[in-house]
Amino acid sequence: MYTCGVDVGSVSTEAVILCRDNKDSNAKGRIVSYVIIPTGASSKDAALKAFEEACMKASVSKEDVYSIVATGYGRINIPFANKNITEISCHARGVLNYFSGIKTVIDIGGQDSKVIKLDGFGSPVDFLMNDKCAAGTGRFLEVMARALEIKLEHFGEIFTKTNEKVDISSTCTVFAESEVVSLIGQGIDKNKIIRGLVYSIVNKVISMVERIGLEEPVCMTGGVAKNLAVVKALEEKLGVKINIPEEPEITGALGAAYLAK
Amino acid sequence: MTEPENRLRNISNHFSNSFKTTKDERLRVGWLCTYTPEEIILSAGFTPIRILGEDRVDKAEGYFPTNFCPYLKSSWESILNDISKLSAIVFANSCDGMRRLYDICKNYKPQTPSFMLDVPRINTDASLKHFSNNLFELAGFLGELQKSKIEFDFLKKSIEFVNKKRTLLKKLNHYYSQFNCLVDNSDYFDILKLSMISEPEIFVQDLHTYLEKIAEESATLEIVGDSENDGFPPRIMIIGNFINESKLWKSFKELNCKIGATDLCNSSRYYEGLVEDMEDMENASKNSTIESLLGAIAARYLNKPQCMRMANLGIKLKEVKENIINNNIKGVIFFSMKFCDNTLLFYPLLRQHLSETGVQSLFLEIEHNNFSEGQIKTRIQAFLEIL
Repeated sequence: MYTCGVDVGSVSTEAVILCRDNKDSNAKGRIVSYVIIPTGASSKDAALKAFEEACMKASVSKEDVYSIVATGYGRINIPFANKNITEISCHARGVLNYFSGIKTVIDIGGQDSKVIKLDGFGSPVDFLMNDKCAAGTGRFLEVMARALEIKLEHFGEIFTKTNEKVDISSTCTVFAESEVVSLIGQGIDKNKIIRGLVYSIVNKVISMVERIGLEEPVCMTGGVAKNLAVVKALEEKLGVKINIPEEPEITGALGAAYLAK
Repeated sequence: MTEPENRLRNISNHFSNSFKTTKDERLRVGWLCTYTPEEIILSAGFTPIRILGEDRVDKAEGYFPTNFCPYLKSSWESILNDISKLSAIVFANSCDGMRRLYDICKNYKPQTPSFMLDVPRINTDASLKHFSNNLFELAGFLGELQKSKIEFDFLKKSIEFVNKKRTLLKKLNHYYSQFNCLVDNSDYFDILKLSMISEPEIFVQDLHTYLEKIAEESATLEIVGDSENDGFPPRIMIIGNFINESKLWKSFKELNCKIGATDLCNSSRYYEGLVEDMEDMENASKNSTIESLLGAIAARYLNKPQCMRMANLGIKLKEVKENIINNNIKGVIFFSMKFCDNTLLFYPLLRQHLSETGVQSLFLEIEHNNFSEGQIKTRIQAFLEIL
């Protein structure tokens, strides 16, 4: 018995095939396969491709998957899904697979960031979302990495090289990019700029955490959770340990697979 | 695209006569705030038309700062484009933005006479007297435009007529909120929209006929009552300012969301509460004067479900609480039009009050006729999932 969760995000689409002993969403399932692919121009095509690849990887035929839940911003337009559920509920359920009793989830994706308050049993009780602008999202870091001509995955290593930072005054991604270019022009150390950028994104997220109220244990999901610089800065600013799932990007799809009945 | 025939297609079968506004030979007077008494405009021989604003704002952008109320900005676009061919406009001092719109209109559209209604922020004997006097001035302003005085009988008839319209709209709300699938979200709000922009007499006839049909259908249905039956999610209440977004109501429908109560500038705050004591006036009509009728009108407007711009927010909280209890509401979605200080000031108070009573709430800030459907839908869907 298999279920599938497909999370169609702005940057990437993830599919998770879950082997279920029963249809209880709280019962522990086994991840049989997962895939992460770029979403590209068509969310419908990306979802289908991710689903088919996940099935192939798991050596499971599509017919063996009895229920599919779509989530993420493209969830509405997935014809083969049985149901769509928001990423808020899916991330809340997904973290339960890795950690028990989580009370706060910080999800920083490519297009938006969210803070979700949980009841400790995988159900959301409140949430806040920032999706009006790219500040505080993975896209912000991508744009800045491009301006600095540094690979995003090197941010973590660079972050630890210095304790000094320059304050990035603009919260808007476009203006912040201009500011970074101007700082480079002034000959400011790139390491200090990177540290400043990381704190800029972290401050944005912290304002949401403070509004909703921080409760431990805390978990971080979404692609940006792989960025050690952001995780370290968040831990430092919040003064708590942040739990990171083994594969944070698939948390939404995993939760969707659990919620598929 | 302000004309009703272009905006409201899905209820056109039932309200076909209301769409034919061109038959109305009366001049039109525009209004923006629900504290504007339509009965006085009608009694002066005008058709009251609510200014709903344009879908797209181009020219008006140049007159206001970026962080200005989007509803008022789009209303100015509508006034500038002269879509509704208004002979005059009645403003109200509902908020600072409205006062600035009045200033702009005076300066840049002097050929359209305008009147500023001084609505009190408190409800006392003195403020009632002040508002009555102000309504007297409004009657004088409108009478002057028609070169005649408003007559007692006309005003009395207008009061009775607008009361009838309110009663019918309240009945519509009953069918909408108490039954599943009888009147859907889009139709409900489209009819309310039509009630504010079409020829009143024709609209009332259409609404009356529509309600008769609805009443027949409702006879076979069960009132939703206090259960979340038939697989519908828990009943929610919508609170906010002027939320006139077709896309939004469509989203609610798609999410299978049952709205059990509303408290908006374009719903209950428009039609709740009647001008009372009409029977007493009938008996004492020989001694009644225009002033006594205006006093009764003033009392209705100061006692109707209040706007968040009023000073005593405790009254507003009480109204919301009663609505929650009476309609078995499990969650509240609070909409605020961007940059509306009055609603932004009220929400923290409401949220605290709701959390103390165990009612979940969601805050959403939107722009007039311009909001991101997907983002708002995600939030509403997530809220429903939590409930």
